Amino acid sequence: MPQKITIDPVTRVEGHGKVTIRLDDAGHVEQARLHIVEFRGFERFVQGRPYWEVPVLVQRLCGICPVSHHLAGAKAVDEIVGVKPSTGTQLTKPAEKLRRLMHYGQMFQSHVLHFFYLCSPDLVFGVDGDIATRNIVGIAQAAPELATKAILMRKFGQEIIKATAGKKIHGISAVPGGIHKNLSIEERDYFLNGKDIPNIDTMIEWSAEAVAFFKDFHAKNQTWSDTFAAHNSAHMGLVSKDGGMDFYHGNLRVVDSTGRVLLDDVDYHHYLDHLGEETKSWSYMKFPFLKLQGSQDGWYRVGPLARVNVCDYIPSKLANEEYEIMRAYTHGKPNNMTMHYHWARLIETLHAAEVMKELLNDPDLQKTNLITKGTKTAEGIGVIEAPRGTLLHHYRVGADDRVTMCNLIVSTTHNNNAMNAAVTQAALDMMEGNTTITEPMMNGIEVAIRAYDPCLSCATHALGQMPLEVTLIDSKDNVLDVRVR
Amino acid sequence: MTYVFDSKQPLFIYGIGNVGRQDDGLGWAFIEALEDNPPSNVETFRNYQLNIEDAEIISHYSQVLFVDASKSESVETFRCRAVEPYASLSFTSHYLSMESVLALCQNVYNKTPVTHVIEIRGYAWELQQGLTNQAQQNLDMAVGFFKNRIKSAYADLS
Repeated sequence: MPQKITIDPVTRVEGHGKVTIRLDDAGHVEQARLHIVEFRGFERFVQGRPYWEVPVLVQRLCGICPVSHHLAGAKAVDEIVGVKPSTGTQLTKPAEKLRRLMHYGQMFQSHVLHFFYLCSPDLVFGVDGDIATRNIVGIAQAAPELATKAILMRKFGQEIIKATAGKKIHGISAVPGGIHKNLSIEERDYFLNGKDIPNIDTMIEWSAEAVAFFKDFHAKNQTWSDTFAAHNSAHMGLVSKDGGMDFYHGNLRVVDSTGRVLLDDVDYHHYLDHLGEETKSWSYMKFPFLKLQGSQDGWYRVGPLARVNVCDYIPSKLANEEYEIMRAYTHGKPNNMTMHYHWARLIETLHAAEVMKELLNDPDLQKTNLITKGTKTAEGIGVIEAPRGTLLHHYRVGADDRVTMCNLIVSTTHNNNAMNAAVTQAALDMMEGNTTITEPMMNGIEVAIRAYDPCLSCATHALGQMPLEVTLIDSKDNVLDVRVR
Repeated sequence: MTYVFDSKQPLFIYGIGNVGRQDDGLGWAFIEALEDNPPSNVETFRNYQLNIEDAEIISHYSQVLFVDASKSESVETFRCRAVEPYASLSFTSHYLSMESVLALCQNVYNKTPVTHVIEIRGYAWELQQGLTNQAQQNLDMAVGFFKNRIKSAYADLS
């Protein structure tokens, strides 16, 4: 009799995900799906609110990456107040640099959290390690220095956010057309002099150590790292005009699994021309795809691995050296190895630290020309590269300045198809030929999902667009009950 | 419910929640209720969720009180209980248990502050600001309970 194994919730992943794996009589994997059951309806929640509230309001989407939503929302409302480079009006240099510092601080702390908290227990203890120790406390016992550094790196990023956003959570500093505070000399020196917390040079040093940690792991576990949950896909991300990695601004580029450029230099304001979204009856999260290739074949990945795959270089010395090493590993071709998300994430961590140092030493951050205004418009689109990937905010406002339309495509939604592909591959890797599910097998599935660092609670798009449907089926796919509301 | 406040030592109170999701804001509302007339020797903090760096923060205190909303039906109005260090697998990048934070503090900083949690029963969790009336009543009871304990501690001192 076919077996249906359900893992619910997916431990160590935000919100409520559910994985369903169907095995046939012979124990072969027949189907594996990641179900998204978290339901938030944020797009409707924003409608009717004054546009200037958006940057603060959208932070409620996620407790881990509020800064990403804060800045994507701010970029969109910049355009509503007429600050849009294509019209000749843009943020002042100090305002953009302060926002960048905030964003790179966010990237740094989020990546550190993911690697040390979610990923390192699996790497240190193994996918089949004892569950009693396979966690951050186990890391603290086995490698206390690593845990201490992780905590201090995370704290450094949080303090950068506090200094630039006004506070660690619910920052209020990014406002339509700019930012309301600069970085004082005293605030700057806190990060440079190392008196109160380890300084930015130490952050760079520890970030480089983290990259070395992964490369050492990879050298010892090459086959597993290269093959586990690996699958081909296209990759999408923002790049600067000259093809460099840029987390804050740029144009969209998409390459396929072999390196063929599918889209390049695409102004994100035209995203609707290039991206479609499909719904599937078994998931509350939409499935984005490239219109160029259609819903069946046009799915792609976003996030650290995709960003490394789409950019031509990383604009900071140490991170670019590591980028060259990583790219050389796949002979300059896109890297489709899911576990290498961790490698890319740590290179980005190093890059974020280097950029923070450059910005902290920039005297523009003490200047006071922080706000710009232009001719008001009724629509704004903001896109940034959030820790988990490309994040898109799109708003329209009415004559009363209230939001009439909100469309969000969050990173985890972009990765929906890819995560399902990874889950399927992991199921094939771990469960093929087995009729019982062991703890290592279950954790293996979760390892595949965690590589994407999905944030399921900020994956919106459900309210009003898709009914809430609960279907009960037996092992032969007979539908026993369906409830829709 | 047993909770003893040592008035000679600073108390760190950590409110957890999201005020954008109705009763999930109970932890923050508790902090706000205290900030109107803050007891001496009490420091407050609020966040969406616990994080690994909180292990460092609580390592500076000998007594810690977490305050969070509860969905559990076993919590009639509110409940105060002790927290013991315990490392668990069930934490996510977006969720870390207070037991794990305490265990991390113990392992990394060799400190184990006396830790309690006040769980306040909530009922609604949609995208909306403001507590339900019933949650507000539970909050008032929890705040009253805490203030009485504070008052008793200072009375004992005098």
